Amino acid sequence: MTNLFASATDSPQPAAAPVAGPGRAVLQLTGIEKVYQTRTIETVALNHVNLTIHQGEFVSVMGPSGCGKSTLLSIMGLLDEPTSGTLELDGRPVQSYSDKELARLRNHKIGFVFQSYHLINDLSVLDNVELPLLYRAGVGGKERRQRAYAALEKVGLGARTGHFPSQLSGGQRQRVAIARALAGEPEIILADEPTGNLDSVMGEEIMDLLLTLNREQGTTIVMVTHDEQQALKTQRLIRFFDGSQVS
Amino acid sequence: MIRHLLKLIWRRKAANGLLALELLLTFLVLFGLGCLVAVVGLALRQPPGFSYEQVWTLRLATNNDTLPQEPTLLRLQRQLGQQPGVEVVSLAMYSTPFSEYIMNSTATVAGQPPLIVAEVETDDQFAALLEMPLLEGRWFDRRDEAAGLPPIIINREMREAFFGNRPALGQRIRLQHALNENEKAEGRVVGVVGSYRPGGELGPPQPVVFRRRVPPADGTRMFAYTLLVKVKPGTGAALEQQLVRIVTAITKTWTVSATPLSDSRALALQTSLAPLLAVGIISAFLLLNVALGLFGMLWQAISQRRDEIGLRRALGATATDIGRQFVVETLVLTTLALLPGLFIAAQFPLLGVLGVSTHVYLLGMLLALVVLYVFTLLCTLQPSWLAARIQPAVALREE
Repeated sequence: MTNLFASATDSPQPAAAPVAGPGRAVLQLTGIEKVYQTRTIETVALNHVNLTIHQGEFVSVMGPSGCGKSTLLSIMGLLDEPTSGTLELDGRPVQSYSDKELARLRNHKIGFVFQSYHLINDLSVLDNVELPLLYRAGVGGKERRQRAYAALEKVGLGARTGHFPSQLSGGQRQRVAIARALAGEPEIILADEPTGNLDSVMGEEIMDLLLTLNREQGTTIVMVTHDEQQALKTQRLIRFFDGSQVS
Repeated sequence: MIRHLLKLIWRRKAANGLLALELLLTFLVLFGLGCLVAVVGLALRQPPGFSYEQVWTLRLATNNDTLPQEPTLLRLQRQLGQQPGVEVVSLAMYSTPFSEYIMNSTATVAGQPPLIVAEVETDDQFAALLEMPLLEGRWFDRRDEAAGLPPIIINREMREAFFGNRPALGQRIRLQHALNENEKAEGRVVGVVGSYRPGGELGPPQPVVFRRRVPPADGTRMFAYTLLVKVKPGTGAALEQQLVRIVTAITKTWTVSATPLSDSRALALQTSLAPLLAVGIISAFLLLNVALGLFGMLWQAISQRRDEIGLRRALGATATDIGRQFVVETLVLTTLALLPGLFIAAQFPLLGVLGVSTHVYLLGMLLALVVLYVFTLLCTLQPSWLAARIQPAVALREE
């Protein structure tokens, strides 16, 4: 079993994966707008965003707070609908998909990593990692556990399966969250400030883990971050300001 | 998924414990209510063994008069029976259907343990007036006046208790008043009627013995008598007033009150159903508490678990999955609370306490289970629907 965490930390200088030319487009955003409307205020979160994410890319998204980064990630992750524009996943527009179809796509193709981990405190580490597989038809209990163990081994937490989130450090919790994203073997990982709640050492560990994932498994990663140094380690950096892509 | 939910429930046992206890208590009360309903339901399905339609009760109080009572009663019976609209009149002494007065006696038959029976003293018209089904032999008639041993008639329950499959007709039975050792009688069985329950449909089936009591010529004086009057359909208040006038004219000093037997039955039902109503009210309050508890718990769970809901949606749960999760979680919790409840309830038929049939306990359990599950489900639907409507992107952004 490859321990991504070990291989990442053992590497003295985790460099960005070499760019081998763009693969097929896994996510294609065209003219995406997102407007939040209350009775008195209209807030434009995303303004005519055109963006293509290719298979195997590691893209970072930067920008000041409130510029629409997380909204962008929510739309890419099929958790939110754009007000206008089209989103294509694997070349197929998803606007007309039902809630059930969108849930299935999220389950099979997308893995999420959040700044605040979003682990369920009442479940063990193993149960947390099994969670996406609970919603996947045809995966039995035994297979779920095997895949969850494997994902935890990859992030170096094979010995912590029976622990509860409250018994882990912030870095370990984030590694559990990454293992949870890996358990479903998604094509894309959407990471929303995955190192935002961690100190610099822990942050580096997590970043190395994501880089190794991208390099060794070819997982497409879109990461929202405030950390310029970490963003520079990715293949492409996109900057946002006031809901628009500025670079 | 059930295993996953069981883990969640177990880890949140402190929060779920109180509600589970409340569900358990509610189940036990509903079980009691269910048993009562089963007893009443099963009893109502069995006929009381007589017909009460178009029958009036005339209660006569003799008011310590000094006149001979026997000729007065015979004259009354004759005069009332001659009225247009009256079909039959029977002297029923005091143990009439739905009456609170039941005389208990100890009955003995050679070779059998004694039996406490209800004793009814009445005349030759009683069975015909109340349309009582005769299973064996005959009802009282004039032939009994020449009998060596006084005739007695027993009901089905008394026959089964004393004679089983053996013949009952012609058997001798001794009777001794339950409270007065000196009051003894002996008789020979001349007939067997069906199940006669003087308390009506809700009265318990019990052994009953009927003794012939035509107006006695021995000078016995009574404080009160009861006449049963079967009237023709369509007769009403005018006939009632006419009957009261006749009684007053003949007896001079006696007082009379007339009540339709159907009214007495309604009153008896009301009295018998009072405990059921009381347990029903307690159950309703408990159910209300459970409803408030469930609503409170689910509202709190939904507001505290918004990020979990968002996360589950992100990981592939549909809105329906979220709603279903809360419903199933509550039903699983209900089931866990019911397991000790069912264990406790099962002890009643197993230990044979209260002398109620197993059938009643099983019906009680079934009724309590159905009511509690349906109620829990109804209480869960709305909060679960709200949980399903939570937008995952919004829930995940909240901290």
